[in-house]
Amino acid sequence: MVSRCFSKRYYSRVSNPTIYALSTKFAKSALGVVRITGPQSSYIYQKLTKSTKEPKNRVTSVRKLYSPNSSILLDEALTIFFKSPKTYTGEDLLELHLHGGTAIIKSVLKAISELHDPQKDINIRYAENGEFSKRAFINGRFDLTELEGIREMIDAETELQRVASLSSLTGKNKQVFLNWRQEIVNNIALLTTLIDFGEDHDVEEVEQLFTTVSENITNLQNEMESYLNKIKSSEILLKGIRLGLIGPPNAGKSSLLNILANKDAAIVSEIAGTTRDIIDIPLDISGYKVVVGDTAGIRSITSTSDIIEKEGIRRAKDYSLSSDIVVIVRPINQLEQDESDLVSHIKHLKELNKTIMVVLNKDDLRDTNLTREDLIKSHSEALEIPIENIHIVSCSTSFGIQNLNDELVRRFKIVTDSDVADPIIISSRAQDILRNDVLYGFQQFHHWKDQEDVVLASESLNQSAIGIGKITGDTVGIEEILGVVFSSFCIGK
Amino acid sequence: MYRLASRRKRDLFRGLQKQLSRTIIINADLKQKLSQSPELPVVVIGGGHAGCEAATGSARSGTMTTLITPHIDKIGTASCNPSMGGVGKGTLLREVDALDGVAARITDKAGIHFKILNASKGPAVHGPRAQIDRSIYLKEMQNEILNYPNLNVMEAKVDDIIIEPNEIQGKDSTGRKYGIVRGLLLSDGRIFNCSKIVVTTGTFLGGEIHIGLTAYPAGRIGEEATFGLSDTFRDAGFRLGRLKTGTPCRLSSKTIDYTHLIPQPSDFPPQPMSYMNEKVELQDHLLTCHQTHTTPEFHKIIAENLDKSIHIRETVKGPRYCPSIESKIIKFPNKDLHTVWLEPEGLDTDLVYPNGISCTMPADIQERIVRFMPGCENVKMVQPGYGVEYDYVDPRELRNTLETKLVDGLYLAGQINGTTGYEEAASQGCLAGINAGLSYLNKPALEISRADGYIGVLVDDLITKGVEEPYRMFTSRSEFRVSIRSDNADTRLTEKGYAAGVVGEERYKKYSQEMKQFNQIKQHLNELVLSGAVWAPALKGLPSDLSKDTSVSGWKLLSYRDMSISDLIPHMNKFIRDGNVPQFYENITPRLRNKIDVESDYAPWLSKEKYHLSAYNADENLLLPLNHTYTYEGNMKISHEVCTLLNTIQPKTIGQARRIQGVTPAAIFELFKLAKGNQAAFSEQRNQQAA
Repeated sequence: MVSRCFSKRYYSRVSNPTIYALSTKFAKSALGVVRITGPQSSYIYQKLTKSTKEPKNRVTSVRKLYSPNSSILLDEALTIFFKSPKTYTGEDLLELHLHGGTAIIKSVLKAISELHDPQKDINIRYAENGEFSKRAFINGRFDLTELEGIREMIDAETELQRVASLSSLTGKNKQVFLNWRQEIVNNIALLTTLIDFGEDHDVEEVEQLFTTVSENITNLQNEMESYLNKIKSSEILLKGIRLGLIGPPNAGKSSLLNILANKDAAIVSEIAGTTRDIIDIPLDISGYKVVVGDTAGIRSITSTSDIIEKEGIRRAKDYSLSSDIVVIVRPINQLEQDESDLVSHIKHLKELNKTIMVVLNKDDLRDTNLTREDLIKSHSEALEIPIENIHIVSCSTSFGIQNLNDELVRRFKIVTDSDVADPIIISSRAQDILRNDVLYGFQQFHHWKDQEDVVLASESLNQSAIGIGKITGDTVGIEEILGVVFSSFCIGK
Repeated sequence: MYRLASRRKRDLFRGLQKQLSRTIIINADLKQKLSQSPELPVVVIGGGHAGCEAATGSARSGTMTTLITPHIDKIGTASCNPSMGGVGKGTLLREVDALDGVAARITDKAGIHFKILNASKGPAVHGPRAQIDRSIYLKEMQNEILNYPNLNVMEAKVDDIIIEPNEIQGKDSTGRKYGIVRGLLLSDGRIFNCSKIVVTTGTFLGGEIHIGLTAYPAGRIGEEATFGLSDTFRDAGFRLGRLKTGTPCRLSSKTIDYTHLIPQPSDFPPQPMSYMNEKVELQDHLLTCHQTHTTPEFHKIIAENLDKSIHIRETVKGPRYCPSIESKIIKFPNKDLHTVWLEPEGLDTDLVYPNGISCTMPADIQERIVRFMPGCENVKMVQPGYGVEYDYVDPRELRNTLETKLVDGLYLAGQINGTTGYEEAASQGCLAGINAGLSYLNKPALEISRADGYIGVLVDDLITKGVEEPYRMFTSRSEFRVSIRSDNADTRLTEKGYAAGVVGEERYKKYSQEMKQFNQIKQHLNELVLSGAVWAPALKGLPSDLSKDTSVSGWKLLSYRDMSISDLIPHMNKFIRDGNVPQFYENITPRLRNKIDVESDYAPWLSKEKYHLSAYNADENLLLPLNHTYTYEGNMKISHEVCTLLNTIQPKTIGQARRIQGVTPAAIFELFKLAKGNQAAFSEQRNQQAA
């Protein structure tokens, strides 16, 4: 008895509190997933299911959940239990997949919180932001690249983004970075051999080493550069392709958007934009996240009736400048008197290499005296836009919508580079380090290689090594380098 | 690490050796005896490379010092290769010299072949090395030691160190008792009262020699091992391990045919090792080394006879590099030949040291195989090579002054700390001796950081990472090797040593004068901004030359590729308006000329390295608590493994903690939290300890 009391007190003193959190959004949805991790995970399972048995490791089961205090049935849920240490956090982990009503979720969260009983050394609390990941890191379950992938995944909303995050989570990025790290270590080891053992030891290959390293570094450099380019495309994919819409309100922009967007997921939420007049609307178009700056407040790009409208036009132009794709929507029958303002703006966009598309809407109201070809031609001449970038549609009859959709998706693919391979997500921190430390070190290396100074060239690579260590969370130490030296070269007298 | 399978055998030896009953816990009787015994303020046990520097270092601090060795005539023995310095090692030697140590000066007296290694790779990694005449070195070192001020030499064997438990400090986190050095006991029964002891027993601590399948206790061939002290360390609770080293056979020069071997002449004129010398003593008697190599037949015989070496067989896990020819053949079976350097051991001796074939095979096999080497077909082997296995103390038991954390007043230096090499030993001896002397006088310790020199790198590596194989210095171990070089050890350490009171007036005066001249020239050249047209006489018509219209300072001009102060000096009068060249341009020694060239060359990079230095210093200035027990409790989210590491090593600063292998970035973040806001308290803790 005494020893039990003692051991219990000791246990609570050293153990972590058990934490729980709703992993999905607190909103009406099909499912609500609650995650629980820590030493009391199994206890919580037993209390909620009124069971005396430990949950089975890695077995999915359907269980009725009750409020421990009132014995009221809360939900019938899917439960999965992961026994430590092979879990996401490294500690016991329990997942409850609830039915998605807010009332159900609320009641289960409340039931868990009521199990907290410090008197009995049962410490349970709601998790802080990022605490699951932090525990994973502390328990050695993840390195920094993996963790960053997770954070991006939480933010990811559409299917393609999920794939991108997963490639980081399953360690594809990690492997890329680990390989680079190893390459850098190997090359520093070659220079170390040259400097510390080149003259006084039994190394035949010495003369060739500096050149070999230089070639290796050039290859690494190219690999990293193309990786960074891929990240840039992936970023557009992740943050959403910015689609700028220009056009008068009666052009049918809203109808066009609704018809292009996958109807179920059309308008996910509203996020305040940088200006009061423009609202960013995230859309899902054929699996791509597209952020549309809705410029609905603008009557006409050429209308100059009052000061407020002038300001609105200025902002709409600014927005289009920061877009990845600009779509100009115009009613098919309506040509403005003076297009010079719009034309000069288009010219500016062209200079910035923006993709510009013109959509002529309301084909159903077209003046039947004019052929579509003629109309395209006249708009093309007025706006100085090539014919192939002008599309005629009708939101009412869906005429031309499929073609426009296909064309947009083709453009999305180009700007996100996403049909080349899986998208990559790396935090901006990692990108900065890659550019400013790792690649910069390589450039410095080449500079000193040209001066034939092997020591400063080697010091430059050290900077790259420090950088790559910061990204993988695994610093490069001299013992590791010497390990490579001694296993590759016969050294010692 | 290299714990022996033959431990029982060793215990047997120890039982035979142990004559007197040893006393760790001081009793009233012993206290009484101690109070009546004569006092020896600082004692250095051992007269090898570490011992000589420790004894002279302590003596320079002004403390009366006694070097105790069983054989005065063996003081200064170079028991392995007859050479001093090398890449990294040469820098260590220069640092010892900058602290007014003795090894570099004796090397300049005994050196018979000098070479700057890595000469083509830039001064940051230049490695000054000298082959020495073994007997001249020994004679000159003994002459130095026996006539050194404040230094006595006593021929005796130390049986035990008397340690009193430190009741105030109690026990460490693993339950070991802290202690204080009170005295020592000699094998003849004499007792001395003593509070500072530097132990530099090298390979003698529990030493065992291996030749073929024979193993017997000895520290060096023909010399007895030391066992009493090994027990002292064990009983005091120190973590001990076993390491191995080896030496090759010696050949008779007369029986070698050098005609077809590649000669390796000395540099001429040689660059002296010591800052005190402009010229080496034996400049007119320099010798040439030769290069030969092993052969497939040589390798075959070794491969077939590996079972005949107890040294090889008993290796549980050997060092990663290849100290012996056996390990080279085991690890790199595809290599057909290994280079062997034939190094003469002196002017008046026939002995040749075949560098590169350290071997522990039976003597008859050794004599057979060396004859496969070109030029050695008829060679006579004078003495076989052998292996030595010895005890070392886990250096993580040490402070950065090389005093043990466990026992106040006990300092360890040299191979006993798991290092290999004369230079590594000498630099530790120098630091430990100086600090023992300073500590006796209650003066502030001399601490050398990684940013100060390779000595700092060596000590920090030892106390932070421990050793898994004999530790050797390489330039790549230093993160500041562009600013820490063999040419500037004096600028880094002489001033510091003088301030601590361990650098003599003669050296300081010489150093100050040279620095004054250096700074005058540097300032003058920095202010001398001229166009390419004016600099033209000094330029060499290289494509890298500056154009006529570009104006640069003289100092900047020197950083251009292949530009040297020697190019400017002959034309100096053309660069100065009135033609009067300042006096400080006269009498520029070769060393000063080199210093100017190197400093100006690296000037652009050094400003960059300053950022690293300041980042390093920021971490080094963030103190961690002393004698702290790290646990997973409270707000500290540190894993059990990391706690164990931190408790073992007790890092003094965040910087040191960061360098411990296995301490994760997450743990460092937690340590930052511990350090934050507590700096004043931790600093006070240090003041109290010092008091």
